[in-house]
Amino acid sequence: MTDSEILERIRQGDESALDFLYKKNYKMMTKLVINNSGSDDEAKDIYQDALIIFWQKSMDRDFVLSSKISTFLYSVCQNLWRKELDRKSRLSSEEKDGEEINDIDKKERIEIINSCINELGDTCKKILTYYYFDNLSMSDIAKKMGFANADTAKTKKYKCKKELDEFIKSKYKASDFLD
Amino acid sequence: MNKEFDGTNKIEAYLRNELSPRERSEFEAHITQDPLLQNELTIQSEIISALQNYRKVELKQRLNQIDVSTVANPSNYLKIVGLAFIAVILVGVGTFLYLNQNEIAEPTTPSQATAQTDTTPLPTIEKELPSATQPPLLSADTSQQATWENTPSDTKTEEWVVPASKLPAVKSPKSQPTGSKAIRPENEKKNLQRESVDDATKHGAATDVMSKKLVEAPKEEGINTGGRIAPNTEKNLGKLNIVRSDSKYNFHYQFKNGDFTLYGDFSRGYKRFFLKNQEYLFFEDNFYPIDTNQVTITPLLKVTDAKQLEQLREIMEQY
Repeated sequence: MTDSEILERIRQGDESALDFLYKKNYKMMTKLVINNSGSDDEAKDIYQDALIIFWQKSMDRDFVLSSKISTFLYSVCQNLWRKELDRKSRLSSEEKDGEEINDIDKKERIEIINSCINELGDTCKKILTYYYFDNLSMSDIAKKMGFANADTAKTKKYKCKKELDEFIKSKYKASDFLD
Repeated sequence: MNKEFDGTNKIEAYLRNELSPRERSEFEAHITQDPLLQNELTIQSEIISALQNYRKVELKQRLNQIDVSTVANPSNYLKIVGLAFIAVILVGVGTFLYLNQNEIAEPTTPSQATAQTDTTPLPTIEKELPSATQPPLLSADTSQQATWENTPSDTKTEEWVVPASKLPAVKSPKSQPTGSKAIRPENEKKNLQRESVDDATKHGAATDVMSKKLVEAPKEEGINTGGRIAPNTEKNLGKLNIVRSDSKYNFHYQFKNGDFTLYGDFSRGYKRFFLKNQEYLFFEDNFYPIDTNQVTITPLLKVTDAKQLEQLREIMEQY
C-alpha cells in the first residue's frame, strides 16, 4: 500500500489503514524512544499518540503531506517524546498548590463527563466522536453509519449532543458545579 | 430555544475553529462581558475534549490489539539475509572442497583412501602388515575373497569385501599370506573401513555413496564347482553404482569404462558381490549375474539354477 493510498483510506475513516501503518512502522518508531531512555511501554504510547495525530491531521482536507508518512510520524514521535521528557523533569520540581486544587475540580468534572459519555448509546457515541475527533463531514458520517443522507446525520448529531449536554448538566447541578 | 441553539452553535464553531477572524474576535469580546456564556464555553470545551479523548482511547485500544511481535525489524531482516547468504557461501565452499578432496583421493590406493576418509582408527591390520613393502590393504591378498556391495534404500551404497571363511562350502586354506593372517573373523566387523565413492555424486547418482571394505585372508572355496573366489579388486565391482530411471531401459545394466550403471528403480536397495570370477547383483531375493565386460545396456537375468541359488542364498543369509 502506497502512502497516498493509506492517506486516502484514512480520510474515508478506514481504520484498517491505521492498523497497517501501525504495524509497518512499529519497530522504527518505538526504537526512537527506547534509544532515548524510554521504556517499551512509553515508546508504544508515544508511537500510538503520534499515529493518532496523523489520523486526525489526515482528516483535514487542507492537510498536505510533504514527506513520507514514516518521516512525518518520526518527527511527531520526536516532538512528543521531547515534551514527555520535559513534563517528567517538571514533575520532579515543586508543584504549585493552586494548580492542584484546580486540577481536582477539573478532574471531577471530567469524570462526570466521561461517565455520561459511557452511558450514551453506541450510535450517539460514534456520531459524536466521528464529528468531534475524526472531523468527518456529515455526509461521511452518514455513509459510515448507514444513514440516508447528511441531513439525517446532522439531526442525529444534534440530538445526541443535546442529550449528552443535558445529562452532564444535570449531574453538574447535583455536584454544585452550576450554581 | 433558538437563541440557545445559536449560542451553542457559536460556541461549537468557536471551539472547532470554524469562525472567521472577525466573528472570532466579536465572540471573544462578548464572552468577557457574559459570565454565563463563559461558563458554557468551559463546559462545552471540556465535553468536546472528553469526546475526543474517548475516541483516542478507543483507537489506542484497537492498536493494542495488533500483534507487533512478528513485525520484522528492517535491520534484523538485513542481518538474517546476510547470515543466510554467508551460510549459503560456506555450504557451497564446503561442498566444493569436499568434492575436490575426494577427486584428489581417488587415484590413491584403496588403503590410502580409507586412511583419508575413515574416522575409525585402523585396527591392528596395518601394524601387522609390513608397512613399506606390503601392498595396499585390499590388494594385499585378495585372491580368495568375495566382494559385496549393498545399496540400502536410503541411497547409501556399501561395498563389502566378505571374508571367504564366511562363505559356504569353503575349503580350508592351504596357506595364508602372513600379512592377513592376523585378521580374525571376530575382528572383521571392527575392521570395517569406509571409503567414499565420490564419482557417483558426479554422475548424479546417490549423493552420499560410501563403501565399506572388510579384508580377510584369502581362502579357497567354490560355489558350484569348488573354484576359487576371484580376487577382490575395486575394478571388479566397478567404480560406480549409478541408478538411473529410464523409461526405455527398465531393469538393465551396463559395465562401461569401469563404471557400473543400473537402469530402473532400485530404491529398495540392492547388493553386489563378486564370487568365483562372477559378479552378482542381489535384488529382492533374486540373484542376477553381471558380465563385467558388458558395455552395452543389457537386461538383468536372474539365476534360476536351484543348486547355485541355494549356495548364493546361504551366502546372503550370513549377511
